[in-house]
Amino acid sequence: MLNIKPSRILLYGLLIIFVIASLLPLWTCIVTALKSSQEVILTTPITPPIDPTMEKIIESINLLKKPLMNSLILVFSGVMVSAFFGSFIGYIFSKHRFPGSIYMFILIVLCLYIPPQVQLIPMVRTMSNLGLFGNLGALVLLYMLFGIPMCAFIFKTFYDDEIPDSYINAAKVDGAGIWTTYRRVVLPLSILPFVVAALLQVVVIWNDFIWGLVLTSGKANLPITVAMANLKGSFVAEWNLQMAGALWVSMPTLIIFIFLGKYIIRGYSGL
Amino acid sequence: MASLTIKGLTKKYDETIAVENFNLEVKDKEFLVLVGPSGCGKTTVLNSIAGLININEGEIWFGEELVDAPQKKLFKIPQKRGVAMVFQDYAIYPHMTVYSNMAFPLEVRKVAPEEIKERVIKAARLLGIDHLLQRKPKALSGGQKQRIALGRAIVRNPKIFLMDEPLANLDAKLRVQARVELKKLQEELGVTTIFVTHDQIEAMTMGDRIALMNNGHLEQIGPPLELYQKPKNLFVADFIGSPSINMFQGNLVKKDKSIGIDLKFFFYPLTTKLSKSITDKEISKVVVGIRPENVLIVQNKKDGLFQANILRIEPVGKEYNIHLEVEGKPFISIESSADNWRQGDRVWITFAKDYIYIFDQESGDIIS
Amino acid sequence: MRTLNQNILFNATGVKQVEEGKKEKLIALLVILPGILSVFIFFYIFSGWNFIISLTDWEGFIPSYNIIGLKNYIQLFQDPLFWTSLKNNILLIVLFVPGVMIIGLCMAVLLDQRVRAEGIFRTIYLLPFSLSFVVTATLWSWMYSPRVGTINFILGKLGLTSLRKGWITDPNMVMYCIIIALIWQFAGYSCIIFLAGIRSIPHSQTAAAMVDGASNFTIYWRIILPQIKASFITAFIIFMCFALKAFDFIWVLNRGGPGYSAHILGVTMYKETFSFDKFAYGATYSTIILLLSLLIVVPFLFRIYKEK
Ligand SMILES: Nc1ncnc2c1ncn2[C@@H]1O[C@H](COP(=O)(O)OP(=O)(O)OP(=O)(O)O)[C@@H](O)[C@H]1O
Ligand SMILES: [Mg+2]
Repeated sequence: MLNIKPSRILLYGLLIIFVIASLLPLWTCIVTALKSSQEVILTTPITPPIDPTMEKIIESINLLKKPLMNSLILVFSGVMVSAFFGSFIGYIFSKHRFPGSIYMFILIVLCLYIPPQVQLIPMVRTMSNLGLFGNLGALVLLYMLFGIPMCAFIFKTFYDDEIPDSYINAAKVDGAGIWTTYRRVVLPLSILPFVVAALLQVVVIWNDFIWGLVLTSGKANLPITVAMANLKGSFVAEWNLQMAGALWVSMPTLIIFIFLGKYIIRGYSGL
Repeated sequence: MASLTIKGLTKKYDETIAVENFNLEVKDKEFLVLVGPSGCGKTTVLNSIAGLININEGEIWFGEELVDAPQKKLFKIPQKRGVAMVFQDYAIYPHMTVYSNMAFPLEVRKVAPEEIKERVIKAARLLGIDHLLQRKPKALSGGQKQRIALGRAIVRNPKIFLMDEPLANLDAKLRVQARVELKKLQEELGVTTIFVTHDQIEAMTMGDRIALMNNGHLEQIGPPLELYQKPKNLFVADFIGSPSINMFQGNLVKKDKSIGIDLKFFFYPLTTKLSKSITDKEISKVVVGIRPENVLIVQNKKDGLFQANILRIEPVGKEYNIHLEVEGKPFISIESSADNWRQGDRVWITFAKDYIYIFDQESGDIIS
Repeated sequence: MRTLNQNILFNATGVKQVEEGKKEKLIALLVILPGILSVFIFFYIFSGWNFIISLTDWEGFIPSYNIIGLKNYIQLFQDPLFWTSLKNNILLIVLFVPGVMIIGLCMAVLLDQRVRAEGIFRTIYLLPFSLSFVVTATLWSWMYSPRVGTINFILGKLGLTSLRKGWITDPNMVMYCIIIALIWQFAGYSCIIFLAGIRSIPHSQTAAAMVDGASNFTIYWRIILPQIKASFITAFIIFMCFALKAFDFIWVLNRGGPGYSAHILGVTMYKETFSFDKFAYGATYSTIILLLSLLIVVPFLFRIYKEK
């Protein structure tokens, strides 16, 4: 072990500094969540709890139970619909182009970069016209179409790169139509983009805040992020409760990133 | 089973013209090889026949049936054309077993399950892949995949087989073997076949007839030997044959009443028959082509010979390719033995009479 | 005569075939239409609608309003709060975008040195990006908390008591605090983008350079960085657009406070619209945000797809 080059030591030193910087806020969050209110005052923010307690973790889940269920509903409905549309749209734009389809697709991709502020007011107006304003239903509808551009992009990139045109041509010559080809040839080969698109959508919907803030009202309808923000506002001095709540909110996405990180990374780096 | 007729096919991609005014007739049960350099439009022709692309002009007939004629607003979709196609990458679906791959075209056509089974197994036996039917294609070798692709094509009993460089991804030895098998299979089944390749040896050995393409149009069509022996132009002469034909630039001149070609290093007198056909035309710059086997190395100086240096002697199996050079111009001779010469020797050369081709330098067309 | 008849016959069936092919495409289009249509309505029709609202005097949920032309825009340009928000937003862009790109690039280059357990490092770096802004705002309120916060505690431990500050309670510090926290959250994402770019360069190129005796620095500076232009552009667009629309983190952290010290365009837009019910004026803000975003994205997007 003595002949390690100094440059390697420096390299790992730097890498570990980044690790500490990345994890420090999470660390203080976890240790604080496990402390009693007294201990929060008596100990430093980074020391582990002397006498760990689940008290605040349980208290916070009681406050967040209903919003957590709401967010789960949003995630499932949103992911299903946008992944299906995204996949079929991606397939059409990748393998059955028609005049002008490239420009249409650019318009779909452009949606990814349109700031949500632009849609807030028209959306509020539309939802109150539909009688959905304040309801969870408004968010369900929203997330169903909200993820379509991103899914379409993921699937088209995948089909462009990973499914050769000859598969489609062979099926065509063999007598299969657009739909049969999709169902028998393309869909079974799309497991990876489905996983990637679904995971990214789960993260996006779970973490989204502004739409829940604007479109829902009343305790029963809030998604978890909005409920968490309210919790932060109403228990200002109770750091351990806040941290415990934050832990609950971050749990699902942390688990996804830790255990299914490679799919997420494929998504972020353009498959 | 059907014949195939293509009339005046033109296909443009934006600015580039991929194929222009292309005419072709393929007889029933014929094995036609479509050959030409990369990018000359072979795949475009094949895809037009299959209906995978929309052509700009022309007509495509399967026997008596018109399947594609943009001027008449007629286009039969590929699903209904009844052709089978083998792709260069085989296009075998990785998620299906070999059996399902071969059954796929029958399933989408709603053939009865018992019949599907019967036909798939029969085709698999014919190709010697019946032991692979339950395997997934992923782990199979290139040769096996190629057979599966063939199998998927033949279960259909198609009117026409289209094959786009189906042997290109095989290694050299397998390719020779597959060549023979494929040709035999086609004869047994008697299906009209259009086979695309850019390899002229494949074309020469497999085709009943060869259609040679260049730059989006047909240069010449005919049986292999006809293309070899009677090339219509420089391009055909150059493309067919291995090693390629030797070419020398020269001028037509009159000398002592008879006509000959001045090759700078050598004056090649033409026979009276040849000269007659040439004098009518007003051509002075020509290209002389001579196949390597007609370049003869002789022991002693005689009249009508010239001298050249031996650059290199290359043994190729039972023959030798002798690389020669005269006044900086390299050329090749094929000899059955090379015992008499060594690299660097200066030798006497003659061209076998009546085996030279004379082309117009400008148009490339053959003169004699 | 026979061929003529045949032609007519085949023509007839042929036309049917053309229609058959078209019908199939039509059905496919019908399947994707609901998806595409609702997406276009949501993203484009709503954007247009939002612009129209910005030309009115509409207030909140009262349905009636009048078109007042560009008055809102004139008011906007005379509104000191707009200029404060714009100034804060520009500060965010100028520090956050290069900051997160440089740090992400550093992480990527470090990870590219045949590091052991590279996957673990990468996963850890990306963890902050998995969190909702609501969570990260909560975490950083705790980090920055003046009395019991982690940062002041660590500064104290390091003997740098003089550097201890009010942080997010200090109007002069709060934007910088936000920028640091956001860089922390996005650095891993930036790293992934650059790492993907670096990894897409064929290994043979770096191998060839090494054989030629190029130093590690030269390899990165002369061979790798010039080739990951696409990653720079991607990262730039993504982070610019984020900085223009940012809202969640700042809102949850302290509602854009203290005072107006952390108001950026997105925050002020929300406040004007939903706190003061000035819908039309809020729509004016969002139109400005949209225009700035399009200005950045559209040229790049069209160029990328034109090249293909
Ligand atoms: N989809 C396309 N868009 C634009 N140009 C194309 C397209 N497909 C083919 N071409 C052009 O048309 C010409 C003919 O192409 P084609 O694929 O038919 O050649 P090929 O003879 O099959 O060549 P190869 O031996 O390389 O397969 C080429 O110049 C090619 O660049
Ligand atoms: Mg080709």
